[in-house]
Amino acid sequence: MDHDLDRREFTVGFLTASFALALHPTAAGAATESPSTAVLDQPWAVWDEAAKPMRGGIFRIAAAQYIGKMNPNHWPVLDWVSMGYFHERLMMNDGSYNSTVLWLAEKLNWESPQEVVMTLREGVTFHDGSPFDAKSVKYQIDWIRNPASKTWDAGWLAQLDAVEVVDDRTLRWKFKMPWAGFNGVMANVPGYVMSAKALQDDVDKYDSQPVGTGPYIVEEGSPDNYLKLKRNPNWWFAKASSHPDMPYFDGILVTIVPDPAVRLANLRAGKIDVLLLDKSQYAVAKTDPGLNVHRYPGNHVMALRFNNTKSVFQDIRLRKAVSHAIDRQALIAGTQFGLARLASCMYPEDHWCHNPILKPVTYDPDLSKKLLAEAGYGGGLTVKGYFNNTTMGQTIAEAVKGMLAQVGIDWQVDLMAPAAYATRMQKMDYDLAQGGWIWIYDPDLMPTGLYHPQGGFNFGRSKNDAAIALIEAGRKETDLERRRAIYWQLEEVLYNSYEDAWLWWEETATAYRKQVEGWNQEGFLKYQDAWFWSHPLWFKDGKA
Amino acid sequence: MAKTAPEALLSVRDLTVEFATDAGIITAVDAVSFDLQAGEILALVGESGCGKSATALALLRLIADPPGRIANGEIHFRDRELLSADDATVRDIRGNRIAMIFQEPMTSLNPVYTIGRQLGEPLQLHKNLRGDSLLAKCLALLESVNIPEPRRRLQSYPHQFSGGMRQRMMIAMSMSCDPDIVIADEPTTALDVTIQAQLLELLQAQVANHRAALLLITHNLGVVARYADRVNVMYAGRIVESASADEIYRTPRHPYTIGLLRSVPRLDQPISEKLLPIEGQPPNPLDLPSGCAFHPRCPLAIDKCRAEVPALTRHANGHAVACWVDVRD
Amino acid sequence: MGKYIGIRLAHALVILAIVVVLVFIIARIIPGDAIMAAMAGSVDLHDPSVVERVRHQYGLDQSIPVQFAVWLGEFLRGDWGTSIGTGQKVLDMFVQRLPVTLELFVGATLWSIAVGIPAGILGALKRNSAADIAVTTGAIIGVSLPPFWEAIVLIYLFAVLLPIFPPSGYVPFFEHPLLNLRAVVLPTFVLGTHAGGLLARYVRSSLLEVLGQDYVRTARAKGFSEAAVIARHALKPGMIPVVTVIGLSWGGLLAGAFFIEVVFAIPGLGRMSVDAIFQKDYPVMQAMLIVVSLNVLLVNLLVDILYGYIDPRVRVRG
Repeated sequence: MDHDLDRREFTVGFLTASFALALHPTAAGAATESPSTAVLDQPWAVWDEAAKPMRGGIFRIAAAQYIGKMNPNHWPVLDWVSMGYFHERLMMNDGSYNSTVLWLAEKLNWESPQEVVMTLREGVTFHDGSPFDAKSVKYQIDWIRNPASKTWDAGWLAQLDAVEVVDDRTLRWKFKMPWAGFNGVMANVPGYVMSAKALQDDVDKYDSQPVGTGPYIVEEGSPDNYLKLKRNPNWWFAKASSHPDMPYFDGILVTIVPDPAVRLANLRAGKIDVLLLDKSQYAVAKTDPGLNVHRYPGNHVMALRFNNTKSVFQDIRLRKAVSHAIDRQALIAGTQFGLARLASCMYPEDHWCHNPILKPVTYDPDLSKKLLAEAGYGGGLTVKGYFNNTTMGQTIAEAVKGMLAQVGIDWQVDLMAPAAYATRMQKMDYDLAQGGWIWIYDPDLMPTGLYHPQGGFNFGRSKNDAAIALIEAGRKETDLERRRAIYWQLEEVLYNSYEDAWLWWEETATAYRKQVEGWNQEGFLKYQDAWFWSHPLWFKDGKA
Repeated sequence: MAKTAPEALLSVRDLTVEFATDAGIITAVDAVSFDLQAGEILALVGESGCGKSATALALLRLIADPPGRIANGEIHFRDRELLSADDATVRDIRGNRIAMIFQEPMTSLNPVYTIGRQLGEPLQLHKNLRGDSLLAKCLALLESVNIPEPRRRLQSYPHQFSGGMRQRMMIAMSMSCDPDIVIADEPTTALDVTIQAQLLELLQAQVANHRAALLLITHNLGVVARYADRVNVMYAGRIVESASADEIYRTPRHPYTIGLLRSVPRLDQPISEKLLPIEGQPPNPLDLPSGCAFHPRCPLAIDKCRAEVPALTRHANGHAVACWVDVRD
Repeated sequence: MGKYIGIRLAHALVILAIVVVLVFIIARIIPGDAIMAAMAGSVDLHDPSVVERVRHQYGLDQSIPVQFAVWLGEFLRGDWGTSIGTGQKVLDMFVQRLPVTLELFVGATLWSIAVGIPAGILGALKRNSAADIAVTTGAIIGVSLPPFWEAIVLIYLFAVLLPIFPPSGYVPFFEHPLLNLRAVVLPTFVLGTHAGGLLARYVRSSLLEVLGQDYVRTARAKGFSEAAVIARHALKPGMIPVVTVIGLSWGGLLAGAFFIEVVFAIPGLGRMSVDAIFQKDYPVMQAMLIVVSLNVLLVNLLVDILYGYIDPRVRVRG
């Protein structure tokens, strides 16, 4: 998959957009009100019992890059899909990217906005036979927070004051201040549960020989070549869900194939069983009688970013002129092979914080010309910027450049590698450039990153006081509905000020060989992450 | 036309050699006929580009094809006709019965192999010599051409030899199979003047020892005067005069030969007599003049010279000349 | 000959020293540092502590001369550092991947020689014949086909449509010799065909030039058959420029390996370099550049020595 924000980032979650990272501070009350915490009582815990899954076979997948470090807290991890097969998280996301799903955590009890009591699932053991209990979770969290551990995500636990063991299955989490983001962190990197015993025995070894609780166990890895996983016969979820044959495959083989065309060749030659398709491959794969192709929304937004503070785009009329000069429908058809949804603002339509009132900016070149004339650029406007230098990036940049030229804007765009344009982004050396965000889980991360003065991708280019106030309010709000309302309002503010030109929300397509059974499109769209990991696939007749 | 001499060792008839160039076909050797008698030294004289080297190479069918081609003629060597003989027959004669010495001893020796290896090759090929007997013969050959320390020198590479030594080695190599004929194409031109005579003496002595005939290709009439028994003068691909060396010097009968003689210093000439170069340039081989090719440069030319090609006509003393004018008049 | 090799070796060492310094500097003047590059677009960059932590971990917060001194000392002691990308020891990574790439290189070189030299000789001997035109055309196609494209086409032909070979992947020889050979056929073919085309052209033109030399005429005048003339007098001098081309294309194979190892998903040095460049994985990039330079220098040294062996004139010049 060749996305334009950052190609490598995509390899992180190459299989499906929605399995992996989740950092999302949810409302404190969400978990406490839950009437039952048993697995079988969860809304997603429904299975088609007539399907009769078969056990057996090695499920073969292809990754663009070797997983890298398999201790999720050590940087970099390049493949979060494989990570999910052997590590499980305390919490997970629901179908709207909200971290409300209890997984290895069985119950959360918010005793105060600064204190949560967490009950852990019973009968869970690590791959090394050691028990998953309060002591092991506390050890892991303290290890992450210890600077000597050189973890890259320690900062995410900055608001944690202490974690205490109450009993074998109970932990008390104490915060320095009210912390709405706790759930999201538990559904993200620090929430991947690791064997304390393995960490204590040899922490360096853990990078290549991780020990989790997941449905598969790491058997053997050959960097840049393959990763072999074998079935975990003691997976807690099989018992908890009364499906003792889960997971159904005997093992998983992750082969590293960097080139997308060669990945497709492997799929068509029957050497792998599933593939996240390159957009250009979607049409071909759909016509292959040996494949089942599913498409579903991806959790990304593609946008053009304005330099709102130090360029001609201080003038909202010019931002508006750019936004209305772009025919988003044509861009999606022409550059994305139709695999994308028209974007109105930053959160995708299936994200719980997206404001459904907002409609995509219309294509209106006459309006653009009028606005340019009003702003004193009737005779033409020249602006500069950068865009990703991948083939796809070049295609998009040229299409946009052509559309802008139609209304009299000459966009002098340089095609550059992310490493190179990072510097220009920092120095605000652009008027109009590539923007957007990928992996939008926690509603705060993107607006903070892009529009807040402290944001890691702002560098002073956006300073919208109303938006900043809303961002800060959103961080503090612990009530889910009120928080949602804040982000709806935030979207409206950004939309009305044409802060960026949002183009499309991503869509993704995956092809499975016909031998692979058990995919339920409806259930996946509704529950995404939770559905995927609770509804493992199998081979027809138990053979690859 | 020279009369056929059946007793001749080598008999060349109507030899014609053409070269294809981008601008057209050049006839470098035009119906040349001559005989070479056993044991004699025959000089083939002319300016560069007159076809004398092409004639020499054609004798052993060494004209590079393409671009060259032997278009016509017969070459009789002993009882065989070489131009129609099969390749194996010709290869059996090359280096064995007829040996060649080339102009540039540096480039004519393979730089990446030792002198010993290259010297021994004809003996290996034609005399089946191997091992010690080959070594002994090679040592004797180098000694015979006065190369000191022959045993060490066999291990040397051509670049470690001086030009004179290389050519002496070439002479030794040409003699290695006791040939009937040695063809020496400007053997001393590339060398320092001071050793030219020395080398020619050596060559003369060697052919005499081996009772071989020598076809000496040269542009130098001084050389001819000293070593040749007979002389063929070539101009624009044709033989224009043929006679014994004495005859040529005493009574040259072709205006071109006369011109050549006047253009070189002679010991029997008073110093006061000036050297006279031949006026004009050698003709463009792509566009030869009509009639006698020499007529544009000839002080004696008459109308007939412009219209008709004079045949090589035999006169007294075996003196033959191709000219419409009798210079004695 | 000993002195000659000594001088060549000294040259190589001086160049290597320059390369080492340049490599270190170049790796650092490319815009953006490793952490920014790898984290651009990722969710965690808004937290500066993450970036600083990682920068400190890899010593990227120190001045460049300090980084250089530290790195060089460790490099010479065999501590090539730890890859930012994989967390493996860089030296271990090389040890693991070198045999893979070497297998490809040796295979491709042998294949290019097996194809290129006979084809070039044929072309030179039968100059302007149908065979010569076939050789010349084939060589041009071999040289000018983009390896990337050629690889994809071959994969679809011989792995998808006609499943003879696996589409990609690698199995070590000692693990499963047959699977290993099947896996390397296509990449070796693609890699070697390019070099083979180049070689055929050089062999042909070099031989043609040699065949026009006076000493070849001398050999003919000795009575050798055409085959003997080629074998005894033309081949060896004709190989002088060819040795250079083989040496050059060995160096060029690495550029090819960048593509080939990515396309065929082969875990060799080329893939490792590509990943390291994309991730700005300094420890790997630096070691790679030095190993690449070392490879080129060694091959050049070997070529020089072979030169000396083939052409006695070179030895004296030293």
